[in-house]
Amino acid sequence: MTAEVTHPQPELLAAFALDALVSAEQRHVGAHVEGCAECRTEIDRFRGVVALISADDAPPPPGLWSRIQAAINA
Amino acid sequence: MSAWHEVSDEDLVVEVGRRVEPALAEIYRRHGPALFGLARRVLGSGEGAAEIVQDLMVRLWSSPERFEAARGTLRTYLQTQTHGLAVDVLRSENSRAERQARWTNGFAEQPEFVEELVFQRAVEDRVRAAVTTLTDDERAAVTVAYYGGFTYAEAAVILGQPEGTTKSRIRAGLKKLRAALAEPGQDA
Repeated sequence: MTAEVTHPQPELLAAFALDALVSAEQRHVGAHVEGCAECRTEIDRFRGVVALISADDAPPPPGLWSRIQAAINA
Repeated sequence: MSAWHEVSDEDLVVEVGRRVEPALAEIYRRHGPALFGLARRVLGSGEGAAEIVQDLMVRLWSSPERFEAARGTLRTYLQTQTHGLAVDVLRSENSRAERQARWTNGFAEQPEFVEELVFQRAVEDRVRAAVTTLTDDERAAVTVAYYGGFTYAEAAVILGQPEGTTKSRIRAGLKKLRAALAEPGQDA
């Protein structure tokens, strides 16, 4: 017999996708989704649409790539 | 490989795993402006935003296997990370009261604050159309939480409504966006 899984409230999954939970809730939901493909898919799909609406491109500062190169070659 | 701009995001990450630096450079060229723009919007500062983008590129270089293509696009993965890092910075700066006051005043003085802040910036028509399916209240809840870097409880204070209402509006808003942006044949 399989134990009944208690999923987080659907509202918490949406808020999790926006990083809008307090840290204890964020940890709780985060730990649950590690082992729950169903909730993980729900969150991933919310994040997919959030990425689409947050189109706000701005050129990074000119020296940033050199700093990144220096950091990865350090 | 010479024509990096023709290589898919997924294949670029594979190349990053092989320590091919031009592959990381191409990822930075492709996604850097969106990530920098998002971090700057959340933080309100370019300097902190640049540090976040640098951090993220270094993380991708050292652990490319953390990107799982089955879970979404590279852009989504990087934006999720960017947002999480920006929110961590915001919340550790201990300036919640001041941020909350700024956002509360923004709404009080300018009801179209949300519109101007974010959604006019959506470049693609289908994304702009999707955003119009949300009520004003849903848009406000999503915007304050996401761009303000607030928890739903903090957002509820700013919006002057019960926490449960904000939480429900966030979910309702994201579900509508998802339904409007679903590819044909795909479940919302």
